[in-house]
Amino acid sequence: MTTESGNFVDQLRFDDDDKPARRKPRQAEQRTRSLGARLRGSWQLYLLVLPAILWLIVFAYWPMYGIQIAFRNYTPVGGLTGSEWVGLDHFTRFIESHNFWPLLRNTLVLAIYELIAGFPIPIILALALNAVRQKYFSRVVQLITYSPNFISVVVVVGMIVMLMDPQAGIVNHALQLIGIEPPAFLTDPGWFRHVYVWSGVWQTAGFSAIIYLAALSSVPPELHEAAKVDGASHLRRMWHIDIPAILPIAMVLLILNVGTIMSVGFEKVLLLQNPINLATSQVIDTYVYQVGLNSPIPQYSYATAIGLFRSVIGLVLLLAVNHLSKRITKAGLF
Amino acid sequence: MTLHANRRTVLKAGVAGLGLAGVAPVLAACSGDSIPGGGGEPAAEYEQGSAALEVELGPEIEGVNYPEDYAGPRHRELEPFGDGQTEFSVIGRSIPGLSYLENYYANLVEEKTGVKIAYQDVPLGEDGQTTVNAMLSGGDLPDAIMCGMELFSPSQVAIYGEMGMFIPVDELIDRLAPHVRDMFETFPEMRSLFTAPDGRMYAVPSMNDCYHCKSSGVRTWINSDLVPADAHPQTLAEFESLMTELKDHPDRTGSGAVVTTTSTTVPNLFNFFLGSFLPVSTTHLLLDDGKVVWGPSQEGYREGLSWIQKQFRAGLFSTDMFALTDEQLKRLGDANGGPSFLVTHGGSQGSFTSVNDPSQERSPASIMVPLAPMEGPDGVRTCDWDWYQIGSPNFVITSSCEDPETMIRWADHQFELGMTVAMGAGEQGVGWDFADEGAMGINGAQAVYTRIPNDLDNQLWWEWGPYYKSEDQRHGEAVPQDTLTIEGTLYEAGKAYEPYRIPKESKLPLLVFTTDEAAQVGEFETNLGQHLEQFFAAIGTGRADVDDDAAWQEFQDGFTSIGVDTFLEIQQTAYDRQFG
Repeated sequence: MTTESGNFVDQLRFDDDDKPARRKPRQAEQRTRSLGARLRGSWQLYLLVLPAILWLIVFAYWPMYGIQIAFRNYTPVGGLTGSEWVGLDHFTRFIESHNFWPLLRNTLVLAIYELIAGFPIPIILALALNAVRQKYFSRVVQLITYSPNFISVVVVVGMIVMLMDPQAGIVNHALQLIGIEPPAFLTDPGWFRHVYVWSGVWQTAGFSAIIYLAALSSVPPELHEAAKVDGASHLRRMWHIDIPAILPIAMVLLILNVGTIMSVGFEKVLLLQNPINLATSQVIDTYVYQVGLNSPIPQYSYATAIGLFRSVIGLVLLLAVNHLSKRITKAGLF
Repeated sequence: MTLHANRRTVLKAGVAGLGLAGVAPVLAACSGDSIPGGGGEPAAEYEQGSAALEVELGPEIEGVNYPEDYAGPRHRELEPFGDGQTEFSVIGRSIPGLSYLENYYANLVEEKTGVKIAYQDVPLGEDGQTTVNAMLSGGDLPDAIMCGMELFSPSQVAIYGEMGMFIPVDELIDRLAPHVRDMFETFPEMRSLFTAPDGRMYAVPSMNDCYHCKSSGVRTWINSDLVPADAHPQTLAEFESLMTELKDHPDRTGSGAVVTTTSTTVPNLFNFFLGSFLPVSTTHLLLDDGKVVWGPSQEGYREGLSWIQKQFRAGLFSTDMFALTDEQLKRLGDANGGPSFLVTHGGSQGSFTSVNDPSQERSPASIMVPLAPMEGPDGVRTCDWDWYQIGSPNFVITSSCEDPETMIRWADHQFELGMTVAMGAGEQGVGWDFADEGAMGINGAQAVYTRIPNDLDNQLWWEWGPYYKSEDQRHGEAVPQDTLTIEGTLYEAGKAYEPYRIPKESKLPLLVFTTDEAAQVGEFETNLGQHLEQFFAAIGTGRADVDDDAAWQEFQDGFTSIGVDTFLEIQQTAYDRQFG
């Protein structure tokens, strides 16, 4: 990854003073050419980006047109555009409802817990794997840790339920063998969040670590060699070389995770839910599902409004964290 | 990313949106008003049953053995009436193994009616709902929709009907559908249960009067290995001492839960026992002298819960039930040496065993036998009975149908006995035949028809078309007398509960709501139900104490803050409108 302007890590460290000066004239020259000419000039690039743009339009932007039903009383007769306009009625109804605060709290607590627990572990795993000298061993560990990512959520929940079964569960039996009375993993509302978050960490940590491993591979070995000559220990080298190298990527991933903070894994929560843990397991998504469909007529508008409300909060959080990140670490999404 | 986060709700809207986009040229060609149903004109007044019948019932075909006092469809001559040319589009469901083009029953209907149908199919379940909604909002309406039992609730049919999307069928039935009208005259409730708030009927209701389903919500089973039939407890006190005695009985399989069930059926099990303290209902709503009341706030409910709490503390009721999955319960039921529990809830034996064949020796389906409701400390002995679960709004004709008269007659023909049986059993002589004299039906009376065990590949519609199955029709199926069958054992289970059923005046029917009412009741139902279940779990695990006045008050206040009063008001309004 070493290019003429230095490698990735060097770029982070040094601000090239002469680069902007070199670039400016070219940009000015570009601006004088017409858009059409510029498109023609590099049509290959636009062709490459076309599928992605099409995907975005079809699956991300076009469906946004349907969000308007959150402000209407949707009926199949009126359709998306012809149903009665009710403005913010559905939003007020949700915010004033009996369940609003418990739902918001459950959603946020679960999401933040997941974020905090799920963020450092892949980094630690990547650092550890990177430090292992025996490549064979590190590959095997990597394979084992990232394979759970490919198991479907339904299967994972099935496994959790089996492993933690109060009568037949291996985990419960193992705990009993060493003399610990196993807690009611699946029914205690206090345990729901731990089970949810840590099974998620188990499932995704290995896969998330791959990104960090890629970033670590761009760290020039000379830096490590020089540090070794200076007598730096493993931990010292991690702290002063590896971590600064992956910090920008870590920040970007953190911001991305904050963006999805409000959309906690719907399927998994629903599958792990039972009447006894409802106090902590009822989140906005599962509520939308139950209220939207469990009704003499499906409440599409109300469900969409709650979903939109959740997305807006997610967006606000995303912007806030992005702003903070730019302030503090000078790295951000936009 | 936020978009991704919102994918589920957006997807739904998106499907509808794409549906609309697909027909954009059509919309452009018409004025806004001509979108089917867009006019929204209210249906004219019509008094149901007032029009004179124009089509006579065909003559009865001799040679069918009906039991005494048989009420239901009869075998009659059917005259084809269609021109065989005009093609109607009808929506059915896509079911594995069913291809409408070569389907035996579809061809039989065409032969008997002379009407040519182009079937469109939509998936079962929620996906089908989305597809149909996209069709409805896109204005891409077929002539008729066969809804089965779950595509539209009675409220949905009424609301879409009042919007003008479905046409009223009541007058058409009265004039042109002698079989359906015959059903209405025999069972007047088939009219009132499916009448919309505006007084019209927008779907041809199909009757499916399932006797054993009426008590399946509270059906509870007891292990006959340890409790012989003559030792069934008759009172709760007897039940308690029997369970205590058997808890550590050496003949028991395992030493696990004595009384258990799955997490989703905990309220059903509780309702079974609460029935010994006061009348209860699966919906928790009851009628008291025409007034809708909330069950959990009634006198007796607290004593009932207190008794249940005592059973949890004594270890007779298992706290595992609050998290038990269907598979886990089946594993307990299928344990080596017989079911490891003594008492469990189950709509049928399939709820607790995978060896669901009572004719097999030592099958859990024959070891577990129905436990009848028991007498409570104050002499109360009741059980829920779903008096009104007798049919569903099954067949709608849309506003874009040009010849609704043909469509109504097409549906009507299928209400004839031979057609109704053929829909579920295929060709006469191959899948079924009329029963011989002396053959016994499910209820022990003369059987009407008998099924022939044959490979019925692409012959059936099961229950996905218009049909007429009264209780007598369902019980008219012959059963072998020497072996146990599922239908037979469930009939016996129904029999065991019938003497204790709550009176019909106490049961609140499934009501038809207006748009505004429907928008609210769903959320109330979910929240009230979950509040109740959470309290059940709390007393089961010892986190709350029913006998503590403060805890009880908090539980009751919970209902108030969720809005139980508004909920009851809506139910009352809808009830008075429909049955008042």
